[in-house]
Amino acid sequence: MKRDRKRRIESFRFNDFDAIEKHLANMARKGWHIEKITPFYWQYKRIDPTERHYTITYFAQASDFSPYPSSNQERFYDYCNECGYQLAVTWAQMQIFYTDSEDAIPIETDEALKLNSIHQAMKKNFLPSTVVLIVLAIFQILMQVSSIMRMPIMQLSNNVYLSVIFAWSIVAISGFISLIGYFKWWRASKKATELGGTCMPTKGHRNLNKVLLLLSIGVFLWMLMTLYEDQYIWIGIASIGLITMVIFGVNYIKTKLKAVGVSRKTNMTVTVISAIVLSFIMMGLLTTFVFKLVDYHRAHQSTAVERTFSSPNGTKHTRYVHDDPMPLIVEQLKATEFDDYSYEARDNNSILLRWQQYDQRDYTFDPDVLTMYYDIIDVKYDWLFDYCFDYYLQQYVDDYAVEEGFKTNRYREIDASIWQADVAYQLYYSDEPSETFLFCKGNRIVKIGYDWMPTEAEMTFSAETLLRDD
Amino acid sequence: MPREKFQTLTEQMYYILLVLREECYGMDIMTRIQLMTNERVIVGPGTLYNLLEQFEQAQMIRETKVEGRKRSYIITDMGLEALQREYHRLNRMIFDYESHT
Repeated sequence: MKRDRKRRIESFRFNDFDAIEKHLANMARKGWHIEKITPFYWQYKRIDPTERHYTITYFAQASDFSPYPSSNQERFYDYCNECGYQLAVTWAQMQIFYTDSEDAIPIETDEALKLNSIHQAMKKNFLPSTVVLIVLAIFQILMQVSSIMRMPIMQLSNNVYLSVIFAWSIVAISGFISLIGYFKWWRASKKATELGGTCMPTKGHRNLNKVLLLLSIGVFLWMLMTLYEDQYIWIGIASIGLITMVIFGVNYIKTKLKAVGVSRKTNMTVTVISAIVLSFIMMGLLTTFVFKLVDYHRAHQSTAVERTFSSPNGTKHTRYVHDDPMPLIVEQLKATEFDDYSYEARDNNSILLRWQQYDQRDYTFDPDVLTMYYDIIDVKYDWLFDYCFDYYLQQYVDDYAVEEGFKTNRYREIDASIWQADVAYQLYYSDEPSETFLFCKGNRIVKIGYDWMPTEAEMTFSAETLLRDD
Repeated sequence: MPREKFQTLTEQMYYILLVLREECYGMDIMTRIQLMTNERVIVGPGTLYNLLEQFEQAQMIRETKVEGRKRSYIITDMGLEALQREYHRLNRMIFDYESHT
């Protein structure tokens, strides 16, 4: 059975009236007439294929929050009707008319006035919303970049984090293209109409829009795949679900208020307030969900077991004890009888970095029990290596202490041959050497901290083990 | 260069004001202009709506009556002045043309 209705996701920009008119005429030729435009899809109804002409005008006073057209708008519709035009659909200030007449009078016969109407409508909706979106995207990108500068290894080794930056970059680029494209068109059209010419044809950058849409879908899928690997996919799914519910919820409230005839101002106020309230509820639900999921993950999926320990001073405390595989453990370096170790491994792998963290701990805090921790960082691109290595070299340096001439931690270069590395450093507090070392070979950086000062043999064994490829 | 509003009139502005020397409602204006100019000048419904609104704001026309959604207008003194100014400008242009050819 043939469908009477069809919904499509369209990638038109609000100001690209030329392309929309052509597209709608083309759809009518195929037997589909535009019936509804929503923020999510465009709906078409089946008609007999026909040569139908579509004309788009912009009515600055129109609002997406108005329950019905204003008297001025109705008068405008009447004028158009009398000239053989029917209103097909509205999209905020955009009014889409159609006619089946071959020789209908054009709706706009004064190009300067047409340009002015379009610009007034754009100033009301498209331009401010695009600017807000760009500012928001830039703010988000700056926040993420500042976070990378503070914690480069943690952020650069996280694909979710990187995909968020890509996603906001796509939003910013798309906004800039819209804005620059519009102003170029407006300036050229203004010049042309002042000289008695017509408005310039709009360039909707449809191919570019499609590329950006595909990129967005790509980033979204990548984010999901990363989350799947991380086993925290439910956080991603819950976030997407909740955001979608907020968007649908806000749109539903706006549409319902319109349907019951609430005034434009009231509708706008209620819709904005509901958007804020729903966003807060969403954040609350998401935060609760994340905490519950982490607890669930610990209890059911991780190797961690909750246990209660007693410190040497008699206090009791509960900790999660892990039993993850570690490439190097204290027992390989020192003889020890202690069997209550927690072996914790974490692995973050992104397109730029792999960051493996290992921590062998003693939660009884017995000073005689030896522990150690180490990070293994594989930098996947040469250009990123120095940045990551410098981060580690500067990690413990207190800039204030350096400025004031106080004692501070600082890495000093040591003989790399013991570590079989390209370069090796030892952390010093003023002139006192510590048991923390940093070395690298090829694109692998290793930072290791022992609970004791290791012997040369232990250093060499550690390096052999940790520099070995998996 | 931007033109100061209504210091000079476009062809469509001129004929709308010319027609509105008699009381007329929106769509009637369009028809009368077509008849008057033998369909040489056509005013689209969007352009008509915008110009009527702007003329009204500039007090060059005024609304005379509202019948349902139909509104009738007539030219004001200010509108007549603008129309005459344009008429003289056009005459000067014709005179200049004739005296230089």
